[in-house]
Amino acid sequence: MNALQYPEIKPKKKFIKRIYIAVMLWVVGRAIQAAAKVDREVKEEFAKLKDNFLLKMWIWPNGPAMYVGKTKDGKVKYLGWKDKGYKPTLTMTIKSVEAAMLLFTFQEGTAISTARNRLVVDGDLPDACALVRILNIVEVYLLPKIIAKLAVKRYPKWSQMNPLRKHFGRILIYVRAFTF
Amino acid sequence: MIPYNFTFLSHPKICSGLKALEHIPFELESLNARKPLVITSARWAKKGLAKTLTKALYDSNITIGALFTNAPNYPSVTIINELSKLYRDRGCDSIIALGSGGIAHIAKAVNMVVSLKTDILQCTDLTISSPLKPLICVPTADCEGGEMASVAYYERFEKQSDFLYPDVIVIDSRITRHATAQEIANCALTSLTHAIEACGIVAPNPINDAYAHTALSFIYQYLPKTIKKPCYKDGSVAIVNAAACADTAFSNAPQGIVHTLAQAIALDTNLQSGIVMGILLRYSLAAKLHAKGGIRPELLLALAGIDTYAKTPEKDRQKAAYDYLIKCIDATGNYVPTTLKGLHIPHYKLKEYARLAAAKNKQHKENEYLALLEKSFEGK
Repeated sequence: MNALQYPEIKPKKKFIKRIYIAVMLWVVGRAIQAAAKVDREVKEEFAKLKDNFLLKMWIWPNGPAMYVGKTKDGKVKYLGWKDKGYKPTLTMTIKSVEAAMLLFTFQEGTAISTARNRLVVDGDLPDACALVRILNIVEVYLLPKIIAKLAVKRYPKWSQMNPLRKHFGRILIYVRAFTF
Repeated sequence: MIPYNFTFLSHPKICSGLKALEHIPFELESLNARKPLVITSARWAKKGLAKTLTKALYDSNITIGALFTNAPNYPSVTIINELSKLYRDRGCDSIIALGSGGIAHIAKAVNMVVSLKTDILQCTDLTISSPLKPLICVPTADCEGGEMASVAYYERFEKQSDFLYPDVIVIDSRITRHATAQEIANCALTSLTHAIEACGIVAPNPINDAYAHTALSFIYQYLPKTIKKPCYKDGSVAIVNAAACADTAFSNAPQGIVHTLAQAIALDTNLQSGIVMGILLRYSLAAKLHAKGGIRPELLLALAGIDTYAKTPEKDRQKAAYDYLIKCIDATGNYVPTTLKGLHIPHYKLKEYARLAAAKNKQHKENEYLALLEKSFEGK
């Protein structure tokens, strides 16, 4: 047998998909920060979390990543994508770039993705559940109904989120997320 | 039945469905492996399956040690030794078997050689007492039975050990949808036989029943459509899932009369064992239906669902289960003859097969084997 016929194969990179995911993580991170100021429900969810709460959401094994945490004065802040020696209290690992693409192109919601074993959570389960609820609210604000319906388990009813709150909150979150 | 007197082992983790191949890097790293030897055949490489697998490993820390694309369907000692050498030369630490049948058995045999650090022929007599190197099985829909079980076939040997289960089974439609209708028929009939024989034993095991019933349910639901259209994604994934469940059930139950006879015939004639099983199963079920114990009525529940099961009077459930099973076998009618005569097996060979089977599996007597062969030969 000629062993040279069967070469060693090094894995290539999926640059475009990684860039897309990095942008999406940045948008979601900034939107969480903005929603914590704008939306009462998100504010309450964050208030229930520990004071040192720090979320790391990243794509295994080489990133990109997103850090969101609570500051000393209790405010929620997007801390960027670089690991600056943070000690996350909740780590959400997405198993592969393709799994992240399914999640961030809204082909699969967070609940479906978890059920299909694409996410690994390291941290307290109540914190993870709270974060999923926060992500759902943020997605409802960020995305038009037709897309958000795919991304969340249940799209909120009129009684849960009236159109005035939704559209006003959407404008505020977009302005805050992309300006300061 | 006392439901707690049993033992059961199912080692493999099954990753099935959309983008299942992309789970491989994570699973490999969790098994502490980063450099797999990938084994596949020229046929699957030509169909682009090797490329699909390679792409699934992009953006990970996994380097393919060697992508061997010339695996034959027969696991000979020569190929096992050559691949073991390749594994060692490249410093690999795990194996991925991309394909079913011979490919999976070659991978298992290579795993034994490199893990036990001995020759393949010596492995036959050794007792495996510790886990082998990580083995990931990525089956195509041409399963021949045993790929995902705790058994390895190589040359003319058969090795059984709990450590021979693959660590992970990855079932993805990008891999499964390339088999032909004939291969799917063979795979489904093998799984059907293994599942029925696993839950038809004297003291049934409730966990084993769960696996066997899942296999039966998948086959009944998806076989007719998949046979007509082998590239049907959901169907091919369901058939391979059924094969995985049936293999696990088969590993936890004694070998049945149909499996033993079909193996004996397939070894001698080089026919696909699933096709032979399909013929023998029809007559074995008919004999069982009229025997004392009969067919287990729970099979109807697995095949037809709770509504039909509840609607059918208790005394008719065995017959109804039999009818459903025959319907499954009939779905493969275009590819499987109804008698052994249709396979051009000479009548004088039947005694020899019965003797071989009786020597291999002593749970049944030679005349029982012969009686089933005689019935299957003419279709009486």
